[in-house]
Parts: sequence; C-alpha cells; structure tokens
Amino acid sequence: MTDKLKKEIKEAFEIDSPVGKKQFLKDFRYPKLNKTDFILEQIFYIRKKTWLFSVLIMGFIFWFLHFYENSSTPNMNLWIISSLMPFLALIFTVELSRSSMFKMEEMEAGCLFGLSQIFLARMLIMGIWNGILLFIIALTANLYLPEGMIKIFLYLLAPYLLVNGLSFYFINNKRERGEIYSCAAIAVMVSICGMIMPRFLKRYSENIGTWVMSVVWITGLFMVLTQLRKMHKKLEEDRWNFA
Amino acid sequence: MELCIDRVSKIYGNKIACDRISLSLHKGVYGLLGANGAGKTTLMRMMCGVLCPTSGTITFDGIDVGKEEYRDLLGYLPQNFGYYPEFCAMDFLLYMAALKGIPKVHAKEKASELLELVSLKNEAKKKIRTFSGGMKQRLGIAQAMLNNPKILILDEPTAGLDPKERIRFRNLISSMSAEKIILLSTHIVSDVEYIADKILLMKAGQMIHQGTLDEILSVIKEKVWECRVEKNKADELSEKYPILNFRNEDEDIFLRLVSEEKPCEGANRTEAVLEDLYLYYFNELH
Ligand SMILES: Nc1ncnc2c1ncn2[C@@H]1O[C@H](COP(=O)(O)OP(=O)(O)OP(=O)(O)O)[C@@H](O)[C@H]1O
Ligand SMILES: [Mg+2]
Repeated sequence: MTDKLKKEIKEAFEIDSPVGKKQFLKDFRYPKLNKTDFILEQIFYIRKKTWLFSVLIMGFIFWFLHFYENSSTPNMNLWIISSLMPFLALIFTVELSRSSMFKMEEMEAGCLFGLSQIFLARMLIMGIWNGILLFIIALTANLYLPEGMIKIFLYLLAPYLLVNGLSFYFINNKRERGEIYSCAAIAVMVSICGMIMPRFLKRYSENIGTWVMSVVWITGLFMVLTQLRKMHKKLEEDRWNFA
Repeated sequence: MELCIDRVSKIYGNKIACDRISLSLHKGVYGLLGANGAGKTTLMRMMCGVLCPTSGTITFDGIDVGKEEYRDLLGYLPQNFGYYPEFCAMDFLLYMAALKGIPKVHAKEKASELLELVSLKNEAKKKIRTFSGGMKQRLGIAQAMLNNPKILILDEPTAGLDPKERIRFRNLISSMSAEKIILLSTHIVSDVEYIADKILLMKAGQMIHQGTLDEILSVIKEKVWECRVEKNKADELSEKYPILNFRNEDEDIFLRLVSEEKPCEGANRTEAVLEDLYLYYFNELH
C-alpha cells in the first residue's frame, strides 16, 4: 500500500468534527442528587459552632457529674443536669431557623430541594445528633446518680421537649424575624425554673418532682408533635409566607 | 417551551397586589417595568413557586409551579436576600448547587465558571460579609444560573451594579436569550430598552401593556413635544398635558410633554423613548 493510498483511505473514513459539542455539553443534564444524598450533604453545612456548643454542654455535664457530690436535697444533681437541657434544645432551634435569621428563605425556596426539604434535612440531622448526645449523657449520668435510667430520661427529656415545643410554636407563629430571641428567652426561663424547683419542692414529698417532670414531659411531647405537624403542613401546602 | 400564567391574582388583606394577570412567555428576554408597589415582586414570587397565588394557575409546558420538576428548571434571584455570614463566595455557590441537586463534581466546575462570568473570580475565597452591595448582587445572579435553568427570573438584577458590570450583565443575558425564558424587573429603563425583546408594563397590580419596544411606544408615538415657555405658560400647560420633564433654564422653563396636537407656539415634536412612556404611565405629575 502506498502512502498515498493510506492517506486517501484515512481521509475517506475520517468523521466530521462533532457539531454543537459545546452546546450539547452545556445542555447535558446529569442525574440530580437523590434525597438521601441531599440530606447527607447537608450534614457538612451544619455550622461547626452548633456541633461545638452541643459538645461543650455535654462536656460540662460530665465535669459536673464527676466533681460534685450528691447534695442533701433529693435529686438535686439530676435537676441541675436537667436544667442544662434547654440550651441543647436552643441550639437545635437556632440551627433550624437559620434560613429565616439570615434572610435566605426566598432564595432557598426557589431551589429543587426547597425550603421544606432543607428544614427536614436539618431536623433529621440535628434530631439524630441530639438523640445521640442525650443517650450518652443519660448513660453517663446513670453511672454517677442513684435515680435509675427511667427517671434520668424523664428529667433530661422533659425540659428539652418543653423548650423545643415552645420554640416550634414561636417559629410557626412568627410575626417578624425576632423569633429566635423568644426561643432564647424561653430556654433561659425553663432553665432557671429547673434550678429553683428542687428548693421549692423540698417542702413537699420527695416524689413531687417526678410528678412535675412527668407533666412537663407529656406537655412538651404533645407540643412538639402538634407544632411539627403544623410546621410540616405549612411548608408543604401554603408554601412559605414572607413577612 | 411556554410559561403560561393564567388569571393569577394575589390578595393581601384588602390589598390586591396582582390582579388577574394572564401572560404567555416564550424563549427570549422579558423586561418587567412598574413603579414601586406595582406588584412586580409579588408576580415573580408566584412564578417561582415561592408564594401561593390567591387564585389562578402558573404552568411551564404543563408542569405546575408547585412541582419539584418545575423548580428543577428554575433560576431565581430575589429582590432582597441575605447570606450565611460564614460562607465565602465559593462556599455559597456550592451550597446553592447542593440545594439544586447538582452533584459536587459538576458544582465546582460550574461555580468557578460562573464566578468568572460575573467577574468575582479573585474574590472566590473571600467572605461574603466583606462584599460590597454590587458584588453581592452579582453573586446572586451567578447563583440563579447554576443549574442552567430554562426559566430565569431575576428581580431587579441590575440594582447596585456599576455601569461596566451592568453592560457585562446585559451581554450575559443577551447571550443566553436564545435558549431560555428570561424575565427581569428593573427601574433602570435603559436596561430594558437594550436587552428585552418584549416589555411588560405593570401598574397597581395590573398588566397594562405588553409588546415589543416599538409596539409599546406606539402609544405615545408622534405625541412627545418639547418647548421653552415662560413660567405662567408652563403652569397652564402642566394643568392640561402630562409632563415628562421639567427644567428651569434661565428665565424660561423647558418642558417635555405628551399631547395629541401641537401644545403651543414654538413646540417641537421629538422622538419618543421608553423613558417617556414610563413617565407617562407612572409619573404622578399629571
Ligand atoms: N407580605 C405582604 N403583605 C401585605 N402586603 C404586601 C406584602 N407584600 C407585598 N405587599 C403589597 O403588594 C403590593 C405590591 O408589592 P410588590 O413588592 O410586588 O411591588 P414591586 O412592584 O415589587 O415594588 P418595588 O419596585 O418597590 O420592588 C404593594 O402595595 C405592597 O404593599
Ligand atoms: Mg419589587
């Protein structure tokens, strides 16, 4: 085969350079993230501060348990740990209402994974994270305190649920963007109540504290559930309402 | 490709922000003009599925605004927006890309491409809180285009941009107009004049006019006059005709006004521009 022939064959079989390659690449629609990937990716967008503060609260509780003897007031140490729980709940709420705090709602609402799904992702991530923290705190507390696991869970969860329930209520019924201050105020108030309660209840029977906590626990749980349902409905149906 | 708005209304209490608006948008650039409070933002929010209309429907090729599928095709720049203060420009775009369901690999590439387009490449790693208003605005524009949207809705995109960046923006929009429906609202009449194929005029919640620049100008074509008159005469004329411009010149007053026939001696007919029409409709002077 001569070189000339080779060249001619090559030319004959040469395909034209692609037309509109650039345009094709530009229009090419790659598969979008699915919901699970989206939620996993959101983990990295939870603020470092949020992780840090919640771990600090846990650390403080460990430190407290380790260095403080049980006092004469019944359940005193458990009451004190319990009154730190509102701050864990506050961190949760602050992370949830980040979009509205920084005026990102509208921009986020126009995206494929809209506001309701961002909310859900944050809720899920923070819920699981706080669940783990609460569990670790309860297990550790059980090593130091005589009250037993059930009572510890009751005391830890009651103020946590109450503050979250009230915070969700404020988020649902917000007028302006100031809802986060209401949530902070509630957290502080519940915390202070927790600190004062045992001294006040000392006069009555020993079990009265447990009764109070049970009532708070049930109220809190009820509020959290109803407010979550309301929130979900609002995000799904009415779409976000801008002030 | 058709974005169909069918008798859409939005009512706040006893205030009608949008009043039975019907539109059909195809590929190209649409400029939405209207005075403050005309209902531009309200209409755009509804078109983005961010706000629920009181009544009426909005669909894109049969897909309802409320659907995820619709949002997948949408790029939106709100009039006012904030940002998470801990983000740098790149983080912000990557975050928005994640919300738009764009996988990380593509997101990085697209984000740097867009940062280049809005000339923020050198600021990619800077915190957004250190940005000027115009830089923030450009970042917002970049964000809207991340997912290569078929429908691009920009609420006052040129607000705060310097002249150079505004021209860059115009060119950017023009280069994309062949393959997208682009709707932008603005108060800068010249922006619309240069880039919009079609102009939509809104007043008090109603769509009062729509068409190409020439079609829309035909309302006041041959009816714009300029003259120099004395103070008394000027007062008399402004009682009688809509005034577009009013300027003191030495003893006399220079007037630009709209009139069917010659308003006074020495008046000259001049070419009507979009600004005239805008003032004609929205100026409270008349
Ligand atoms: N959330 C709301 N509640 C009550 N009224 C509202 C609300 N949002 C808008 N309005 C009213 O609806 C009307 C239209 O507002 P809109 O923001 O759409 O105007 P606009 O054309 O975007 O004005 P601008 O040029 O100032 O941005 C205004 O009269 C405004 O007062
Ligand atoms: Mg507006």
